[in-house]
Amino acid sequence: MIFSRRTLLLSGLTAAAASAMPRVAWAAAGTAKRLVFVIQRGAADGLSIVAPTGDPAFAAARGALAEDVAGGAKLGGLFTLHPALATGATLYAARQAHFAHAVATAYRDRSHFDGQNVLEGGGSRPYERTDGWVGRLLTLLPESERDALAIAPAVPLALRGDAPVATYAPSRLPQADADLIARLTALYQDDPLLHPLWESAVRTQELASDIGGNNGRNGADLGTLAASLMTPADGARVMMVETGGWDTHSGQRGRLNAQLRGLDQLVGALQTGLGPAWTDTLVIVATEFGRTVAVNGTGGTDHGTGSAAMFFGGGLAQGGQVSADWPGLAVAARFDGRDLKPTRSLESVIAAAVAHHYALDPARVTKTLYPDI
Amino acid sequence: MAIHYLAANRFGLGRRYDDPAPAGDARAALIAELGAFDPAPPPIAALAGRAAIADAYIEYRDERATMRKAANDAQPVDAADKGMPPELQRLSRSAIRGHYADAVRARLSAAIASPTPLPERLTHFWANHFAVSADKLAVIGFAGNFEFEAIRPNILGKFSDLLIAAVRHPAMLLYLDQAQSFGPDSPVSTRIRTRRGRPGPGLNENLGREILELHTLGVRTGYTQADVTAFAKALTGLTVAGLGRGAGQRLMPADATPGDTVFIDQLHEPGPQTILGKRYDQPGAKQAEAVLRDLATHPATARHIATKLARHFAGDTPPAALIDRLAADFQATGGDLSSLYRTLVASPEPWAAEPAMFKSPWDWTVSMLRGLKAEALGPRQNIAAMFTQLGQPLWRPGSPAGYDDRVATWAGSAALMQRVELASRVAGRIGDRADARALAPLLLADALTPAAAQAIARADSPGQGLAMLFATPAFLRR
Repeated sequence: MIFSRRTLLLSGLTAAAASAMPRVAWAAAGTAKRLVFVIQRGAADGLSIVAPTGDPAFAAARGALAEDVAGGAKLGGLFTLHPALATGATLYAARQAHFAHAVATAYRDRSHFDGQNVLEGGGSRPYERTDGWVGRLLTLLPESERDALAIAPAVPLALRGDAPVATYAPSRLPQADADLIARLTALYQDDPLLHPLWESAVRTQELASDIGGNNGRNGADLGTLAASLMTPADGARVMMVETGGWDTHSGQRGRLNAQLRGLDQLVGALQTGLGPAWTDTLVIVATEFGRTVAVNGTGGTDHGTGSAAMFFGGGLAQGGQVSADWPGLAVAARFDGRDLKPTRSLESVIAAAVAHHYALDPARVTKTLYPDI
Repeated sequence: MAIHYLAANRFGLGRRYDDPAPAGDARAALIAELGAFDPAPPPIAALAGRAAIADAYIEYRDERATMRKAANDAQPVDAADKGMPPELQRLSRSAIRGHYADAVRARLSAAIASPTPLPERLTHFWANHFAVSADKLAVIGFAGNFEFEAIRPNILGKFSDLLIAAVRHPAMLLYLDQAQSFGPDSPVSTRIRTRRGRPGPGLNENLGREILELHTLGVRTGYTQADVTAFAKALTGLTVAGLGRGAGQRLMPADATPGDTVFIDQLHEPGPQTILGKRYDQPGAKQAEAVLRDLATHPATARHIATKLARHFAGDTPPAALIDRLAADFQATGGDLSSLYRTLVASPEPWAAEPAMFKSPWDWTVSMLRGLKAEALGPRQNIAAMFTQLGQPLWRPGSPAGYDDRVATWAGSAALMQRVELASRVAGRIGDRADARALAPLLLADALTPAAAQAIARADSPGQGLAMLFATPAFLRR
């Protein structure tokens, strides 16, 4: 897996990228399918993003955090979308957004590194796989839809596999490159002292450049860049976009609001930038695990289990739905007494969306993307 | 048990790239190092002496005083730098900083080249035990000289001699304010009081207290405030020529060179002092020396030194058996340090694999540079700034207690990232001029794990392999 320290773009980057790209290439883009995987590194709080406001235990468990979502779009009787996701709400109304709740990967502990490794690798436990589920997906796609690119200094684990993958990164890469950082992450994984120290060091580096910055415009810039790389005739068809800054242990209200505004603008810029190709695009937004149901003592939430995944695009199977086998938030219903209990596997939800998008046999997709599950 | 790794890292400063393959009796080799130690290797012997360092400070001080006078500023000379244009401050400070930077470079060169890393490490250990901190301008230039002249030549003899050399060095006298301490009833204070009808300059207890608390007995070992005051009085008279200020400077012996440690009877508190229940009625300088010699062999001192040494070589919570053995050795020999080190090396506890200690930034950097043949740092690298960035500015622990010698002091997440970045930068300079796959078994000896060897071998470039080697868990520890 790759932990890019400055995965996201500093403002001003879009201008540079745009000058390097054909300005308008929609006409040449044809109707090939496109896939964008947006990874939320740091454990995004699904309970704030798609808030179960109709759950009787929600308001009490969430306290002040519950107030944040009060003005958001109602998604049926049980859920409310975080108000920062304005584009998300519009897409939902247009049946171009699907939120899958109470989902989790096969991973049940609470380490970011290990959790992201499982999310990207698609294995049943950390460090099981050296290739990723998107990388394996490429082998199922026709040649015209196989060009993959990561906006990152090195290929993230999710995209690794037999097929070649390009990377595109803004200039000024850090000294200790992301690949070295990733290798040290693996080297330290069993070291009781170094593993947590390193995890925290890398997280701090990531926080320095998140999508929430610049009033969300960092997110818009990133979305515009990604779209511009996918629109040319010979552009990328499969894209991975990295986002960090989701680890909201303290002061979650302001931070998560900024993060979500950035994410919302990212999705909006993708839709705008892809133009007609949006109809044939699937955007998957997922995180390694969720956060605790209860608010901690510093106005934040700690590492949890179940979370929500988001799907956007012009041709979703479940557009305009929140899908969930809702477990409830009462203490007795929680996982380990503290976390949202996952009632469906994230892998199965992703596999179903991908199979529908590419019109592939679901069983074959599942077997290829998640052979160990 | 990774005996060669421990000999080289826990006891030493890491193996050099040209060391022979690890073999033989590691304990005997360590003991042999004690006899082969060079107290003044070339980089250190080439440094400027105390007089030149004192001159740099005096020049700066005078320059500033002139500036102040011109600005009609009544601030005392040694206060903050206010009132002086920043450019001029930089200029006049540069000579002082130059001495500091030269000393840092010399310390590093000596450590990298040293064929006797155990006594080298012990020098660093004692310099931290008797810590001065280069926060005060008067101390900055002298900090290196303190280690090289007061500590380094005395680490293999009696603890009492080491203690007295450390206490008498101008860096210590300036750092802990002894240079400005006057006996309240000394001839000078009495004269001032009588003539001007107001209290004369008085006692400063700083050095006396820290000697008891940090250098010898240890905190809460039974000494009282009365002991501290009496000891501070016994120490009066001890000051630095040319650098102190106030009345004392006019009494300097004519033949004293600035930067010399001097004893001025006129500043000394007359009469006997009683410390820890014992009466000291020696005259002048002999009084404090007698106190220091008694403190140096006190049972509490034996235990305090034994505990700190044991922690340095056996981890955060050293086994009681080791502390007892070292303390007994210290007391039996009257504080013979070479005997203490031999007992330490012969003890089983420091050779236990657990708990491992985390290298300080200094230890880690030195061990990395010892492992490389090629010049690893650029010619323009500011060495002193590099250690500051790594979290351990040399001779500047910020307190007379020195750097806390524990894993948690150095094992921080940002600090770890700094190391990886430096390793990455160094590896980038070296590139394929070093083969990490061949270097790993040489440097890590019997502590190279298959996982680390494999990770290094799978690196995507020689440079990355090298950076991985310096960031392996075993290389970060000692």
